[in-house]
Amino acid sequence: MKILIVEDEPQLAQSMHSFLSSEGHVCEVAGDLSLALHLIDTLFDIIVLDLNLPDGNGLEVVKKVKSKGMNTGVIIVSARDSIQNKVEGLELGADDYLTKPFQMAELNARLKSLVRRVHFKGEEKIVFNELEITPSELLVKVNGTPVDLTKKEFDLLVYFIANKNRVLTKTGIGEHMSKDFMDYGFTDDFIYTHIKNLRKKLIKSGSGDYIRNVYGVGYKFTDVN
Amino acid sequence: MKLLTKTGLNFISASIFFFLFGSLGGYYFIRYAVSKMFNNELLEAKRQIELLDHAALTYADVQVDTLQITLLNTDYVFSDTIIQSDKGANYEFYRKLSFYKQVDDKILRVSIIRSSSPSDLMVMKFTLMLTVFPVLFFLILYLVNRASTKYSLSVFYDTINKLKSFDVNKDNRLDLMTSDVDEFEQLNEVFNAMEKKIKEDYERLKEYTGNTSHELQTPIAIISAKLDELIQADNLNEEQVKSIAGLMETTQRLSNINQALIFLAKLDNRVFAHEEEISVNSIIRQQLKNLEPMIEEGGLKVELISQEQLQVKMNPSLAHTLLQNLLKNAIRHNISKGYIKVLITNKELIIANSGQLTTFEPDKMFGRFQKNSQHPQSLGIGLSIVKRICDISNIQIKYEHNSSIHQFVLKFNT
Repeated sequence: MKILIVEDEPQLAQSMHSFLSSEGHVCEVAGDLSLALHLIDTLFDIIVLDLNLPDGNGLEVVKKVKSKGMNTGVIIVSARDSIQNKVEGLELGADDYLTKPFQMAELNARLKSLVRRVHFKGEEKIVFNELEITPSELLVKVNGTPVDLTKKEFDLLVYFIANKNRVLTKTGIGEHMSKDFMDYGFTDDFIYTHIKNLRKKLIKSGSGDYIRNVYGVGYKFTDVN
Repeated sequence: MKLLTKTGLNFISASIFFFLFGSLGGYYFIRYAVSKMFNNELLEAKRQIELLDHAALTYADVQVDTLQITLLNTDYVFSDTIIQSDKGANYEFYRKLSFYKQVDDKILRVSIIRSSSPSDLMVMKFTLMLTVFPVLFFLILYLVNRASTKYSLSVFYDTINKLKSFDVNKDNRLDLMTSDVDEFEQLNEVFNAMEKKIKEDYERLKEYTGNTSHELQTPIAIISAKLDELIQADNLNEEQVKSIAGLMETTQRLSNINQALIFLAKLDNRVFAHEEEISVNSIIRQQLKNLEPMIEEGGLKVELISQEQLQVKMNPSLAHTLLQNLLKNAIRHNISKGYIKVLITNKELIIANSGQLTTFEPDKMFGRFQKNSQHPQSLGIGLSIVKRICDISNIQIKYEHNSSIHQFVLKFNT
């Protein structure tokens, strides 16, 4: 995927750049609005967009992209998190809205879901070895046999696979799961219970044991030993 | 004591004092003047008697006694006397002039008396007039004065009432009445200026808090991103991974506190002004369902008694946050295998839970960063958000605890 990162904070831009590159994407970084508007004349698959730019509002980028009818997905990443800002961004045609600060894993998961929505019209299946997931139908199959997962477990599995081979801390997982519960610190036990159930169900259906514990502080979804 | 009562009392007590002395003084003065007049008349009579011409006297009686004493002096003496009238029981007051006179070798005492009854009556009437008319006059003066003062003070009372209901958080202006009294006009000007200043300062403070929190988001995002990069490295040992994970957790906490503060700032900025009819029953049900995992985790028993529908007009997103925070609070501060009881009537919502004995004073419950040491994960800001939402949405909230039962009672204005 070709991704444009519009972010005026060099440190953050650099982190996102190296992270997305490591995920196999081709990235370019624009530090201000004029550069961003200039760069989007060439085609990008995804734009990761900060709104507070030194020379203007990032929403201009969304407007230009949409007015040109480009098939480009836009994820807004902003410190502004009021509902109005979100609604405004999404109404202009942005595809997702992430509030700063965010976990890279979260950005990654949103990015992948966006790619599926924009470029595969949600039809794409996520395949990981014997696991086959159809996000649009909340369906998980192991070797062709459906597995009965709760909404939370399904969400967790998609999150894990989107961030395969990466260390996900319990805090990060808790944050991802508690999107709807502002400020609630999920207990480690809570996350543990859900992961334990997910793992049990997958193994029982004949899947490999891919969820590894990392020194008691996090988890990693991997098939590499 | 009201200013009006105070000045009224002063006025009345001073008036009583001065009237008392004034009318007493008046009475004696008139009496003095009258008796002076009598004395002159009696002296005139004396002069005529000495001319032996007393047949001409019409206004006084003359009595002549012959005394067997030597004449000591030729002075005359005025005195008041009471004489029984001819008809019997009636006594009358008389003014009397006595003097001694030597006629040949006899000493005569001549007493001239004149009735003073009619003039006494006059004195009484004068005194009465002197008392009653001024009393009436001042009473009217007092009433008129009182009414006018009361009218002028109405601006003052209006100002006080408006100041009482002044809330720096509310949008409305103070809007003080104008007055034709300079002092009140000045006072109102001062208050108007003060109100403007307070609001400006408050706005600036809110802006500052909001901006600071927003500005913190980006650095926190950088820290979090860099830590995430670090922890992905393959060559880390257990200690290093644990340290980084610890840092990530702390950063997350920092971010959560910051977000909660931003949310509070937004509440203060009335971002959530939009209101619509919502059902507390269905939101509670929805939230209980959302929180099910946490309820299960604590092995809690939930009892929902919704006897009646509770329909409220408020911002839906605030309603969700409010009820979620209260339920989360009830879950978090519960004991293992405890219970949560939710009771909904058409005016009230009661959320009760079992819990440990608390050292909290109920009043402090809603303060920011008040927290229970047993729950280091809690930010201590949830209930402060609850209180703010209640204030904004016109809901009365009360916290009660009774040994190990804690409950929040919310009274809605439906």
